Amino acid sequence: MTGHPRDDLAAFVLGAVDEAEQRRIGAHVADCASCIAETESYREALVAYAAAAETSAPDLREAIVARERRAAQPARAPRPWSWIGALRRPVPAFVPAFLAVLLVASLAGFVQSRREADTYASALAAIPGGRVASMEPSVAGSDVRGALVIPESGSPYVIFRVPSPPAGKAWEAWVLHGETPIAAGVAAAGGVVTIILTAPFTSGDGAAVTLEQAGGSSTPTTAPVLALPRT
Amino acid sequence: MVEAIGDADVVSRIGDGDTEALGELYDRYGRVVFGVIYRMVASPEAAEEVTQDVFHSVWRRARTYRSDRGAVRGWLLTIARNAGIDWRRAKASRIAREASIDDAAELSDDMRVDERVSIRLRDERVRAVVGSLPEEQRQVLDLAFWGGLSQTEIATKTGIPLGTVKSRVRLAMIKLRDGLSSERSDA
Repeated sequence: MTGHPRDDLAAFVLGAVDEAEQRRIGAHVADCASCIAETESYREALVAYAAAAETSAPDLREAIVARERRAAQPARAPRPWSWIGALRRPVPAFVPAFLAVLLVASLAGFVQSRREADTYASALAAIPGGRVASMEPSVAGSDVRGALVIPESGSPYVIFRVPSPPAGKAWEAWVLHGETPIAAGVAAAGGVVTIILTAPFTSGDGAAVTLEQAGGSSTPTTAPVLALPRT
Repeated sequence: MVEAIGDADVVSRIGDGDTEALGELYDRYGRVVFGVIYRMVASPEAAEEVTQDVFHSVWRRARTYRSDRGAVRGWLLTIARNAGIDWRRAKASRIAREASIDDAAELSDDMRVDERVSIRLRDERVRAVVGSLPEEQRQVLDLAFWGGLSQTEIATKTGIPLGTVKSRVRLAMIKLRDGLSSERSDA
């Protein structure tokens, strides 16, 4: 290009020149201080002109910032369960007793067909001042559900819904306190099961349920099917 | 537009991955960007989507911004208009219509967006300058700015010779610039 494209600079800023022309003028302007200044003067005029259209969109700011904030966070792959992780992971806080009602509701379809389940559900619902914390199933989407219950009086216990254990096996509850899980009771049945924790349970402890040999183990030999990490 | 002081610093922080700075840039210019795009695409849902894409583009390209090439607000407006134009062209492509004719038809609808969108002229002088443009100059300016049409497309759509379109675009832009620059010097 010879000389300055003065006559075309206004249309260039408007983006109204054809593509090839846009590239050609753009290449010149990039290295021409006087043309940069002139295009900037047109651009400033368009900025003022555009201000006439100013209007707001509710929540758009939050959506824009949240989008990049999410993208800035590294994706987290699901981690396999580990006892070390259970002992170190931040813990879901204990929730008020109303969670018991929610648990009962989630179990409703199941307990309808099992008389004994009604007993446990009723027991849960009848905890006016106790605390209930959901236990996390290790397999997402499974039917396994469970909770740790700390009644106002009496021993803490776990209540959970599991399949019947295979022959020679049993469900075993654990108290997560310190570095080593403490055996806290065994149940050989399936369905809705409760195990009153036989090991001391103090504030901040976690709990877990594993499948062990009938009669129980002194240390866990399988990954938990349910867990509530300690705080 | 609000005062541009610190705009370059805000963009620099965005380039460093500061999401709060992105929000700050939105606070400064988001309403204008959204308003421009809304008027171009004539749909609040599409305008929100395109505006998000604009700020996502800013997020990715912030490190390439050069303050010696122009102010942030002009850079941002260019990105916004290009996004609006791309959306219009993609839409025209999707519905398999001839772009130049239908863009012009849609532009007629876009003009009615003025009645739907809460448009505030923050500067009476801008209104006066735009109002002082001869109708034929205002027409080509609107078709180019809001409609995203090139001068060739405007000539095809209106039947006006290309040379005349170019002349009117240039005169409209000069009057707009000179009128607004005198307003700034008066301030």
